[in-house]
Amino acid sequence: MAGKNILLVEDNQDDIDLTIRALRKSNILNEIIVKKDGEEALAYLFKEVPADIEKIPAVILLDINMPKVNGIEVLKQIKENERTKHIPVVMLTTSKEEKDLFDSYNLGCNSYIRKPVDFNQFADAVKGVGLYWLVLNEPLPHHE
Amino acid sequence: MNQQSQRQSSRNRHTRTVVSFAGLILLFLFIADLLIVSGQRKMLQENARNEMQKELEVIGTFSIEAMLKNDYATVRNFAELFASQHTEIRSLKTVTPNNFAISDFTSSERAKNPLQMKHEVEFAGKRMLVVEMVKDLVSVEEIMNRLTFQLIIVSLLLAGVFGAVQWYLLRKMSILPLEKELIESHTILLTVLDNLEMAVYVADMETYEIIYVNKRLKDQFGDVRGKICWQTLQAGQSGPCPFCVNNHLLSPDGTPTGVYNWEFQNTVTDVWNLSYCQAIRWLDGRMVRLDTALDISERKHTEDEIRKLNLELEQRVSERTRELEAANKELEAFSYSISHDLRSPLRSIDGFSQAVVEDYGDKLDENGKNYLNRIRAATQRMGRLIDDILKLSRVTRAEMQKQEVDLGQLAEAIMEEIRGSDAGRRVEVRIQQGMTAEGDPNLLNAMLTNLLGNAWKFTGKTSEPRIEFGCIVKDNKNIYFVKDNGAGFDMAYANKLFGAFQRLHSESEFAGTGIGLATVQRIIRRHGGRIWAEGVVNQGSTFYFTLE
Repeated sequence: MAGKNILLVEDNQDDIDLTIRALRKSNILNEIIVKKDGEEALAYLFKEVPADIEKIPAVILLDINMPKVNGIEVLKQIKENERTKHIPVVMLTTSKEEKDLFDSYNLGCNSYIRKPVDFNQFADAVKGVGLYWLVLNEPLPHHE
Repeated sequence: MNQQSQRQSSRNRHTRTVVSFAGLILLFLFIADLLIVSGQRKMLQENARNEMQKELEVIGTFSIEAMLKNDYATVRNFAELFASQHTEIRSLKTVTPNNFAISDFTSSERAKNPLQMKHEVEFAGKRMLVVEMVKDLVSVEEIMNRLTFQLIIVSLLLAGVFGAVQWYLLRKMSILPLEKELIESHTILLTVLDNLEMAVYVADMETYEIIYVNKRLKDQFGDVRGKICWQTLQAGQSGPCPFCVNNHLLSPDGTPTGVYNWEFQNTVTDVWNLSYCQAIRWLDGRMVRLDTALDISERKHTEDEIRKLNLELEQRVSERTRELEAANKELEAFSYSISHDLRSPLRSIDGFSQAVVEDYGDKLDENGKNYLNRIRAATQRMGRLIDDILKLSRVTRAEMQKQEVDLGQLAEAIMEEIRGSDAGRRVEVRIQQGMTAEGDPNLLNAMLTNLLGNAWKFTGKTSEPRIEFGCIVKDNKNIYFVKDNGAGFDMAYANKLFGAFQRLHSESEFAGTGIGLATVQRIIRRHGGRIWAEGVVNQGSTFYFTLE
């Protein structure tokens, strides 16, 4: 069976910790792979995953504003690639700029969540995302 | 020119008057002369007749004695002697009653003005002799001729004197002043024409010969009278100028159509002219073009300058626009980073405060937990502030798309939403229908959401809350208002209402960031309108606004 791991692409350590905390508080215990910028995330998806099919994430939580390669560019590459385009991508970002929303949906993101300042609200949002994509949603089976 | 011909004709009229007056006098004199002459002639002839009668009687008396003696010789001698002594006698006959001619004298000269008389001599009732005489009244004729001649001379002299006197009087009384006036007005006209800032010339419309030029034209082209206009006043023309306006000056039937003005650049001087052309009839009857040309080079120059300045201005505006666009881009980048970078640390503060409460709650007393909760409340409030600032900046940046908006319907929809989010409250809402305005629907929506939201919020502690949205017309302008009977405000602080982050109520009393009315004001200003408010503490407030 394909991995049920979560790929979290986020450059802010605080946000990483809080996201993981929120997921764990919602009893989502799947493995969480953290990549701290777009470059690392792309390297993981296009180098590590092909070698080990188990590493295919069930969902990608993607921040937009990151050093080197930003989230929009990462999303673009994921959705342009045959291997990765079916992986659900949830934009998890602080930005509510219309342009970011527009670009993200245009490139085929599956959800767009704006991180609230209130941790309780944030936790609720992450819980919802995790439950939906990891439990409710039926992913495409992987063939290799 | 016209005036001059008038003067000319008036002078002709005077001459005619003088001549006809003199002629009339002459006619009268001639009639008088005729009467005098015929009277005189009659009198002279009567005198001559009387004299002749006496002479005949003398001859008769003298002849009676001789006839009684039948001395015919004496009678004949006497008669012939008499005839020879009177040069005027052309013939003298003495005849007996039985037709025997005693004497018969006939002069060789022919009578020019003959007078014939017959005298029968009687003695004691018996006819004795008949004397016939023909006389040439030479002296009468001579006298008459002399008289006629003298009368004609006198008459002519009189008529001449009268005519001269009349001519002199007329001249003194009307012709001279007219001429003086004519010369004066002519001088004035020429002076004015010469002093004009305009070049003036007159040219024959058929031959193109220049008839008159004023000083200004003379200064530019010399005295070109007698020359052809298209050869002298324009350059490089091989015939009448293709831009000649002659055909604009006459109607098809050849009558002048009035002034035709046009702008052109002279081909000799390169000077821009505003030319007023008109066809007029010259004194001698030919049709001429009177051209009065104003030098408008300066105006043209100014127009060019203005065009150039406008172009520069446009360039500057587009430069500024580019700069402004760049500044806007920067601002966008700035608000992007605010929304992202400023919120992230807040989330950390909030998140980890919560983590402390959750994970280490047992090690904290109530006070410690309270502090952490206050940290969280403050962070969340700052998060809201950041969101509102972003909203405010978006209002300023967003591109306006104006269209007709039904404000009443819009307000209804907004109230529906507000009621839905605060279902526990009952508020009397009155919204006037049929209020349409020109504006950006999204911005107007944000504006009304703020105003109606405020009214809803500030009537939260009122027992019978009422909200009214309507419109009044003043000076043909729609003034919209949102009225509530809520907390109101002190008019002393009215000027602070629309400043960003300005609040008239504490956070604990009524929640808010103090951005709402600043946003409203920006939206209304972007629509070219104005907003102001009236309020009384604890009685309510009314917000008035206009839209362009």
